Amino acid sequence: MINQDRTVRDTFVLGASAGGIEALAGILKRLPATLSATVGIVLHRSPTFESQLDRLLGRFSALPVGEPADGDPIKAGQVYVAPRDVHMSMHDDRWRLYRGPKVHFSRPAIDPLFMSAAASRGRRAVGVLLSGGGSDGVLGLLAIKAANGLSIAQQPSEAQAPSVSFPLR
Amino acid sequence: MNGLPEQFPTDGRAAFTGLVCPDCSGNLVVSVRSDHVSFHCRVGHAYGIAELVLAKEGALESAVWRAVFAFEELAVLLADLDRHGLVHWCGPDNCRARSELAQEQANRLRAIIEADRLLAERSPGNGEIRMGPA
Repeated sequence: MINQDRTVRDTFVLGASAGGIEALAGILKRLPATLSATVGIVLHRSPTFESQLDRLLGRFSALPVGEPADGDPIKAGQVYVAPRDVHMSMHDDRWRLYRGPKVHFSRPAIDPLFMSAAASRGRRAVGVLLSGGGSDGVLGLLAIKAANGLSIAQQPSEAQAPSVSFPLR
Repeated sequence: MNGLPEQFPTDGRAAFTGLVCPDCSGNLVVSVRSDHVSFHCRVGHAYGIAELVLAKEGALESAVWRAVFAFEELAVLLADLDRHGLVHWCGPDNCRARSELAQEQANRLRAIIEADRLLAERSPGNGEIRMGPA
């Protein structure tokens, strides 16, 4: 994705909580198989039960969808989903999966992914915050914006669980 | 006892609060970025305003349940000691009276929990809480 300023945006990070699968599926459906960008997704999910979220989201995506392992390289043309009970963040073009402190009651949480995208990809990052996750993701979006990336938040009125704290400036 | 600082920090800096983290009891600091108030502790637990209130209410209920358990455990311990004839050292009547009082206190605490009403139950709409003018 190149905007009018010819800025390459090749890192999309998406975060969602309750009711977010539908919105995520709607975005994934629209991504072409030829997309040369990385997509990272955090969905608030049970730390206990294996939900096969990557397989579920894979049904809606022309791009391959999977859960990375700690240290895996971050590749373009791939959708990465945070596994249950670990935070997923970007470090030096590799994924870091770690069982850190819960952020906004959640692990995985959206902020660690968004903040690491801001730090490691800067203006190349696009953060998309969907469907009410409480406060999780707000600081991350602000960090992406501060790094000259692009921050997008779903309108609360469109969300199935509209509880995101706004505004973003 | 102070909860929040008199002055909120600006430009993303953090200020100590008089509050502790609901998850680990570490000191909480508060910071404000673009109207968004957030709290975090040294190890990295993080909360928005509403999340912190919810967590504190949850911690309060847990604390009272622990007190209920302590009273009920004491009541049953004293009752069983009496049943086994092991209360010569304090007198059977004293033991029974203490056991009954402990059970009454437990019942009072159960009633307190039942009568308590969480902030979320009182909040209209989606519970959004913001700094500054609406």
